[in-house]
Amino acid sequence: MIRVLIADDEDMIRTALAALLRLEPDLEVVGECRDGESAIAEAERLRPDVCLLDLEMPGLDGVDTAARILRRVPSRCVIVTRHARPGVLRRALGAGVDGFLPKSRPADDVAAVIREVAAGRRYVDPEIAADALSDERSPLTDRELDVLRAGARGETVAEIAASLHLSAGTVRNHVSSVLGKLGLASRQQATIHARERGWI
Amino acid sequence: MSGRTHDECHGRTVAGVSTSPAAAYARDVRVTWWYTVVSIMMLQVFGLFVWTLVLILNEPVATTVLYLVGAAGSVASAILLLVHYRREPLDENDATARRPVWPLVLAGVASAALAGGAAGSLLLGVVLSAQALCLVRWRAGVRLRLVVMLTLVIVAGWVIEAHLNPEGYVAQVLGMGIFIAMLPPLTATSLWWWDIVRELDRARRAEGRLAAAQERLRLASDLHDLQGHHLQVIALQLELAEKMMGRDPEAAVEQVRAARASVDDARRGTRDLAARFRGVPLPDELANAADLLRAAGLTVELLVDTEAGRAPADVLGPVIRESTTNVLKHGGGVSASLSLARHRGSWVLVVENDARAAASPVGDGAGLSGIAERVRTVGGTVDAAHAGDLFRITVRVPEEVPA
Repeated sequence: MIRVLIADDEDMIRTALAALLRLEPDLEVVGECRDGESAIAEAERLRPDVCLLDLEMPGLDGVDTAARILRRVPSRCVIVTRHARPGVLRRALGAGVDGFLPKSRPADDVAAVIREVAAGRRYVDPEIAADALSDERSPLTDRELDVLRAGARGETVAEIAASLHLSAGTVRNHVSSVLGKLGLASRQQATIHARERGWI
Repeated sequence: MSGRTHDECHGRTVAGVSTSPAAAYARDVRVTWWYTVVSIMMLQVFGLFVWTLVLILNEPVATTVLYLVGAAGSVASAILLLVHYRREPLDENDATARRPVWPLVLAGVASAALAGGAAGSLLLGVVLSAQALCLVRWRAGVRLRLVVMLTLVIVAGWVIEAHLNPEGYVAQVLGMGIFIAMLPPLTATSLWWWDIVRELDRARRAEGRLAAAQERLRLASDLHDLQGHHLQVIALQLELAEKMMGRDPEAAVEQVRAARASVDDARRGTRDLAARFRGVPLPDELANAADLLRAAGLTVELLVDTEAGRAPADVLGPVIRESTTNVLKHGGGVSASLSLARHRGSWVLVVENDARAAASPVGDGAGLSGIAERVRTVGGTVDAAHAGDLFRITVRVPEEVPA
């Protein structure tokens, strides 16, 4: 019996999926959660074999949730998503996620992926992989991305400089180089641009 | 998609990283500005410098110092006026970013008066004052009239000055006079030219936004048609299933299955619609593949020809997608290598990994056979080989792919 925990904030989808998975003779849905925080708590309590996590959840997203669960519990994580944003597959693989598939797959396929993953294999849906391969590449250097990341919450140049151990002038140079490369006018625009494309 | 146009997404590839044409244009526009500024300031500074030499040779030190103070003030006000000019919005109705420019112009005129007075030249004073006036962004039509008027004033000043100092003046100042008298009109034309460049740049941006907006409208209408059609079909199939449920459960189930297939069709159609906006150059796709495989814990070697942007992406792209997906899907590998090179008139793509391709129970994608077919239609070859734990796929496509 494979014990499965499901986390999805969309009640209709979660309950329907749970009902369909319960029909599988070798799967047991042991818990249902509506957000990442409770999924982590439930995973610690129930120690499921596989956690099926929705990518788009309020608060922690599926990948962050998976990363924290995997640090605490010897479980395996599968992410389901309606729309994989750029960079998310790379982030998920880096976090140790074992399965990644679109929500549109029939429950039979989801069950098959849960079995695959429970058996220690990995499953990345071809559609999601194809999308990830056509992500727009970042023209920015690692250092420039660091600067954007350090300033993502509206930090001042001085604060960015302090957190990266750089001089304020160097940070300003990086910022102007970023704006030149992206053809944008402000650091805020550059941050949004980079975040939309999954670069930071 | 953000507000960027389709065209801009592809970008051009330099050393494996795409820089968008938008960024290149922005740089060109900046360069044009600096060219304008440097040419204006060079002329002014050079003119003032030569006049300084004349003064040092002929006048007492105090006069020269006084002149230098005026000249420095004139240069400083010109620089500040140029900074102001650059920051001012093009749009005349946008008053928010507009700051008063008159204090700078006044300072420029005062400095001009000081320099002209010290040098004992009416012409110099008039020219430097005119220069300050020419550095203001005048409304359309005003600038031309102003420049014509200022030029007339300068010529008048020059004639008067020539009459007041009949001897020696011609030899010493005539050459300088022509040079310095040209300054304001040249400044005005340079800035006028810069305004045109800025206006063109703005038009280009507006065009990009317009194209993006039109594309969005088209997408919205396509999406509406597509979904409308599929939803109607699904509704009919479900209605039929509902009516048949009592009489013929078997047929009802058949209709439900058909409805599910329609849902799949709708989803695929939507995806194809969205795919219209995707697609990156081949080198970017290879770099993305390497990133993904590294994120999955593999050691990845990536070798890409510098000209790889010219390789046929529609043929080789699917190969990269299929083989990357396979490596990711089955997992278990520790290393992979991707290389795209030119060899004897062919593009050669080699993907190598150490994980044995295991059959997967879910989904099978287009698969290798689909790829091979596509490659053959352009006169290429596909070679897949197992050697121990190593799996290698080699694809050769002629450099000149028939259209």
